[in-house]
Amino acid sequence: MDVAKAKSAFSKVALPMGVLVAILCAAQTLKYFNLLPIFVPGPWDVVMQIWTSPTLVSSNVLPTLYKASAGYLIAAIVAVCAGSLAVLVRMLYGPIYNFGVCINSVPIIATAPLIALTMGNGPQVQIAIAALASQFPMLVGTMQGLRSADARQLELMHVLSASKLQTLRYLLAPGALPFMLAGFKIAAPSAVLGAITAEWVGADRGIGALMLYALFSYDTPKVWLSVLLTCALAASGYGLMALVQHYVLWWDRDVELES
Amino acid sequence: MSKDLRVFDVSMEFTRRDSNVLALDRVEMNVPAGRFVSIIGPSGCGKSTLLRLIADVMQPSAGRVAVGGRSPAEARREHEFGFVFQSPTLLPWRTVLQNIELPLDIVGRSKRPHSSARDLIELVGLKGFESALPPELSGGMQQRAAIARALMLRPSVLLLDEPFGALDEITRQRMNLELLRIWAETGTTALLVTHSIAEAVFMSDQVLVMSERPGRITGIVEVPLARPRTLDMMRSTAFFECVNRVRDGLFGVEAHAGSTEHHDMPLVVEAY
Ligand SMILES: Nc1ncnc2c1ncn2[C@@H]1O[C@H](COP(=O)(O)OP(=O)(O)O)[C@@H](O)[C@H]1O
Ligand SMILES: [Mg+2]
Repeated sequence: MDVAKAKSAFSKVALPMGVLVAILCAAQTLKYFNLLPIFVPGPWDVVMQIWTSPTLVSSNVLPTLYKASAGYLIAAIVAVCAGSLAVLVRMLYGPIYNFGVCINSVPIIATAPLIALTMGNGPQVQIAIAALASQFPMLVGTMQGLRSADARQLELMHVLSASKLQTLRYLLAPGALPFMLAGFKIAAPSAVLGAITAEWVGADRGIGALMLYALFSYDTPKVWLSVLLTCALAASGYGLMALVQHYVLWWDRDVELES
Repeated sequence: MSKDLRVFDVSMEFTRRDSNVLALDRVEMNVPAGRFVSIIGPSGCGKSTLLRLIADVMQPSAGRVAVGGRSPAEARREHEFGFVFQSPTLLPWRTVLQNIELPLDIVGRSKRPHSSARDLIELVGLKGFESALPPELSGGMQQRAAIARALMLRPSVLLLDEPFGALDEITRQRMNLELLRIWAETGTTALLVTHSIAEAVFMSDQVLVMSERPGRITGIVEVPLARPRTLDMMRSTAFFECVNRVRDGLFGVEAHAGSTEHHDMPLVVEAY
């Protein structure tokens, strides 16, 4: 639209992309002159992997996508419910928040075997871990958002004799939305990383499984391919939620999540 | 339409962690229906608290408030109050029109006689800004939207808590005139909290002077100026007379002592 916006869009997208392309070109050139170590493939070799075995990509990306999405969705539902409950019942606020912090600070790699022990080994393990890994920002977003209405706004609703439900509908819910969507956005890559990490512990399909398989067979380009796919999936999750955020919030509301 | 407002012997004590704060001490007040009354006092003397007690946002520790002979809770449920806060307190995701219509969404459009939002927008001079979002408006325009919202359900009592405190002097002067016009057209009882002596006198039929904490009503100044008020009246002797009486009420004899010989010719009148 205006020049300032176009400029900021340029510096946000075009500039990093340009730097990335420059680095890739440099790497490819170095590889061409054999100046890179043996365990670093040229970018082109990695991309060629997609070309030569497309089923390898799809048969591993889709399971991870499914597990990460399912876990993310479950975490979203639980986090929104728990966050609402925490705000509704003051006594539960501290315990629910601390529980979220606890889950968030336990390393995934440590919980995965435990969960595999109790849940058997199937996609449900990775789904559960994706959920555990992504819940915290959504919980914080809900809790902080539902409390973001200021005292004057609440007084206004009271003077208007609004019911609890009306206060939720006209004030608390719209006020919480920017915080919740900010949390949802941050949580998306965490769900992807959670699912992939969980796949290391035991899965026959998925980006994590591909990564492990490639590592053990010293297939360097495939290792890099799996890293590339991880980044792409995590970034698309973030990007998708950023788009949702952009289109759902029509009012100007930049929020900071504090955890 | 309008209701009288009575405050009987109201005290308000807040409990803090280690001490109690007596915010209001046996306040008596009587605002006849349809009058414009101002409360003036130093900040922290309990003016906002008094308005909140009247609007049933909180309950007094002692004493009683009556709005048209009924309790504040009943009056609130009947939507007798229009409340304007010091900050506009608009919902940022609602357009100006939607903000003004918020009371209708809550009460239900068919439940109660109400003003038309279009008329109100015209009344407060926001025509053409119906679909603007609050951050796109200036502070004065936001406050005008807040006033329109407060008038939506045709309240019988309009409570204004330093509504123009954050505005520059020129805008403030203009808003005061507009508020008087709106008040005359709607015929509600109006209670205005301010810390400007000139504003209090210019707007009101009666000025209530409050003391430092604990807040008490220490003086009542009747303003004999005719209606409708014009800016010219601010040059009249009657206006100065009232301003001096309010100032004496606020500062006691100490303000008086130095200027006894110029008693009827004040040198400085507080600007807004
Ligand atoms: N909710 C509250 N809890 C505790 N103290 C309060 C509360 N509201 C007001 N007070 C205290 O009561 C006094 C009067 O406050 P207020 O009515 O806001 O004064 P004013 O509007 O005249 O500036 C102040 O000392 C303030 O700290
Ligand atoms: Mg105040």
